[in-house]
Amino acid sequence: MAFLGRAGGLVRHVRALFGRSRRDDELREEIAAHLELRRQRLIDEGMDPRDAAYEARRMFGNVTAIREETRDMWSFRWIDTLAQDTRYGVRLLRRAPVFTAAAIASLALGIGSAAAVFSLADALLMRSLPVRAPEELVLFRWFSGPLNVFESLHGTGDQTDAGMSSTSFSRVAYETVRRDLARDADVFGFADLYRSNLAVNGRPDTAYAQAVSGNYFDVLGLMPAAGRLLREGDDERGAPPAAVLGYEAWQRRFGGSHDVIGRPLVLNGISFTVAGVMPRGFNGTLQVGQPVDVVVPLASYAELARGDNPDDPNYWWVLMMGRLREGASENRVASAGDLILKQTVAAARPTLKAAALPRMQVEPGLRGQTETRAGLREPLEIMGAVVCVVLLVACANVANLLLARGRARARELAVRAAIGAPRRRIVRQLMTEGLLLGLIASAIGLLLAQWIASALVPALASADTFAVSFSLDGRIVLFTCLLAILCSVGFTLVPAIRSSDARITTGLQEHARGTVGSRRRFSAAGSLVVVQVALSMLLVTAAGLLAWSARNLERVDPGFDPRNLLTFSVDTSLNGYDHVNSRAFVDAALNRLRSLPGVTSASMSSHRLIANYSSIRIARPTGVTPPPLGSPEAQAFRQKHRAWHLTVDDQFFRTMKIPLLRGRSLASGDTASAPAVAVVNVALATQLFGSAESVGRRFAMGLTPDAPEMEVVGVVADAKYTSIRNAAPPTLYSPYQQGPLNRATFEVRTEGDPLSLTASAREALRGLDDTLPIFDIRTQEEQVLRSLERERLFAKLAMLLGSVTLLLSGIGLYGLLAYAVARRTPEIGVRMALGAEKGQVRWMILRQSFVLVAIGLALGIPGAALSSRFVESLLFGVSAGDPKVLVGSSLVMIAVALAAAYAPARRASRIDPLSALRAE
Amino acid sequence: MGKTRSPRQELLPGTLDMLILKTLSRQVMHGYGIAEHIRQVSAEVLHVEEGSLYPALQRLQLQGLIASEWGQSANNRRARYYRLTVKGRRQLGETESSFARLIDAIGRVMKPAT
Repeated sequence: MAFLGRAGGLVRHVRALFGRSRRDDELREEIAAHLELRRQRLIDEGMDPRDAAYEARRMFGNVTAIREETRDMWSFRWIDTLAQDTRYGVRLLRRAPVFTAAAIASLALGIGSAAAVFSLADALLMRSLPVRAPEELVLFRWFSGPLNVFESLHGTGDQTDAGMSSTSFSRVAYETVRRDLARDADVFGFADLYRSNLAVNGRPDTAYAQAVSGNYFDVLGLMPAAGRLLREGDDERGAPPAAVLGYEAWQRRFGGSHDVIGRPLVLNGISFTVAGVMPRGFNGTLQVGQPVDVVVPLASYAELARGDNPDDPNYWWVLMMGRLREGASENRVASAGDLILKQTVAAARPTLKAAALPRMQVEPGLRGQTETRAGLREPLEIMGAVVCVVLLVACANVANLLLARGRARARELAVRAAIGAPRRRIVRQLMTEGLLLGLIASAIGLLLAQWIASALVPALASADTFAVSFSLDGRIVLFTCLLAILCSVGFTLVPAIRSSDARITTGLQEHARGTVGSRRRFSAAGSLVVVQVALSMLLVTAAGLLAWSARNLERVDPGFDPRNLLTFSVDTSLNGYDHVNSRAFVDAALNRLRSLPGVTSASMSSHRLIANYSSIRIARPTGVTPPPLGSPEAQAFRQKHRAWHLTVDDQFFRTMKIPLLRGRSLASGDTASAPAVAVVNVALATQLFGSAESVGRRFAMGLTPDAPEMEVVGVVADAKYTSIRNAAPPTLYSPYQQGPLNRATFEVRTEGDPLSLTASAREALRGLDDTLPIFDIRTQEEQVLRSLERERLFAKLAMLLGSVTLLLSGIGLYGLLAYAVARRTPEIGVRMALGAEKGQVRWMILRQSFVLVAIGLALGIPGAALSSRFVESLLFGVSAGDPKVLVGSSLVMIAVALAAAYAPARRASRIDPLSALRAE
Repeated sequence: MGKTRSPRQELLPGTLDMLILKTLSRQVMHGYGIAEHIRQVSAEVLHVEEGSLYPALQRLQLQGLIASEWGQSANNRRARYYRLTVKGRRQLGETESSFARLIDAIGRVMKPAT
């Protein structure tokens, strides 16, 4: 923008621009004065007064032209030019509505998806915690070798063969770190309470709860949206129990009313008083996207999370972060923390050798916990790559459309060049048109982005446990605008330079001669089509692979019959039931459910099937002595004797239709006082006893010598447990009467539509306890589909975008061929006049299409084979670069080429030689 | 910026601005006065199309080389008076010396030393 000159010039220009009409008046007055002075002078010199006025005007020149010219100078010349170019561009675009609509639609889709993926990546990967100075925050994490350094862990752990790492600590480690590091950092603790039972006015509902230390909000520097946040005094034993609400929960459940402050709420059966509301947009410091409805003091954790003793140094449950004080060294904090952790673990587990003690690490905490984010990176990268391909194909298409139009406008441009428009001006005119397309498309794209982003969320995480807010903030708008400009420059530059390059003479002759078209321009369009075909091939292959694996997954036999099965869950521990009460509740509930009309059978299990949940225990044949705890062999032994445990009732196998192969099923007689029994699946029977008969044999559950023993009474067929993807694990089914019970999932097999039983099943349970929330009511089939949501969504996404790119490539190819036929009409006429067959002419056009597609495929197939590794983690039952899929997608491309060539080839074969030659 | 329309061929292209600046360097003047001054001082050799003065005056004003204000003319009419700014005076100095060099060089070519 060198022509703007310096700032002073800009100011003068702007002032001039605004005083436009005043200046015009002044100029008119000035010119009038000039003319009058000149007239007087001429009269004084002896001229006839009648001629003097005319002579004065003659000497002055063209008054209007001069006023115009002066006025031009006041305004920004480039603004006027831009406005003119824009007006002209709009007029041209409106004159070609189909072209414009096609270009804008394809670009809008490309830009909208790119903006959507960017806004998701921004919200999930890049954004810092909305707290004061997040860059000062640090996060504590520990790493250990393969030996377990704790007994029970609550939180997110990452386990590999080499060892384990997590951010959960024991209470003693947390409290010592907080106290001893106080000079260097303000350390705060927090813990996840997961899905809890939140009752307001006696109405139960599920809610996500967290517990935080008293200094939490103070150190984070947060201000309440209403009332007050928790403070140090709330987090003491014996303090009046206070809770704060999440902003979303406050809006959704309490309508954002301030009356809620001071009101009671009941969380997992314990009363709290609402003290205030957290600020909007703050969702705690746990994983990204994790929703939080209510936050309570850490001191109440023991009461809320029943069953585990938070003071036990072998129970690790509290996460910690800290704000470094000014001048504090991160290294000192890390080494001091490391020492404390080692001391506390050594005290709790004296058998551990020094080398096996965990190591503490301090990480930047500005974005909170990292595990979920790490898992989101890959799918977001895949989405980003897919979207880039779509955007490139869309740009290539618009470039091709512009190129075609550039040819059509060669004459117009040549005329403009002939009357003296500088080349720069013509390029600028074309770029303005491109920019206009780009900006309109990105405006639509931005509107689409929000919608596309929320449609993409299920591909990243299960939607009902994922809170992500993406809004059209400045960064996304900026990103989209930059993208639009980049695309516009990209897709206009080549056509613009090509068009402006047109020799004036050839451009003017084109109409008359009909055979102009430099080969170079044609090959530019040709290579764009080749690029489109190659890029489409990438997406079509990915879509093929994903669709194939989604189909494979849906066809997997889970080993049970998911049809006509309604499932729902309760968590009796949330209402303070002990194991005995829980069993009684389950008994009564099963009785009620079985007596409902339309129910064939009903059963319960401790966990829901195919819900990515597993309870993994150790099952070893009696007589096999496990290696001592803490020894390296113990770890290998553990791996070899893992059993997936499910507590079920005696009707479970009948209801789920899992066939009993040998022995007997569980029975109602297998009560707490009867001998401990279990049913195992084939995989576990083989793992325990090899090929020997397993019915009647005994095994122990656990590693300690006093581990409870059980007798195998039956063997059932293998059935999937955690997910459809994994093979059926070695599974152990034990009767619910013989073990602890604090949650249950009911399975109800129905005669008709399972969902029609929802209301009566809910009613049956409510009759037993109307303060117990029932959650996740859905059919088992839906449960299976949900577990495949990511794969299915990626398949749908790839198919949708693959079809779009196919369509775009088809349009590009069609446009190119149609133009070629139009251009070659006289030539074809001559050929036909000389005796060429219709078929030969058709083949000539088809061949051109096939050549382009063949080159595109030659580039695209290796590219697709390579790039499909990118989605390998999503594939099931098909490998990346699968030849079947590659051949299939090539065939699809060829079919598209055929379809695109059909109409132009037909038109070519119908050219009437006589009229074609006459036109010449 | 784009091309400016050059004044009549009588005037060397680009010299009008210089002539205006030079004229204004002696005294404050209105548009007619400038035209008249150039005509008279050049003994009517330089023919400036009078109208072309005004776009030039606007341009010089936008470049900050001259400034203007309204006042009363000799015959009691309202008139706009132009004066040279500090920046304009500096610009005039530069233009004058480069013009002198140009004329000198052309002179040497046209009248080779004997």
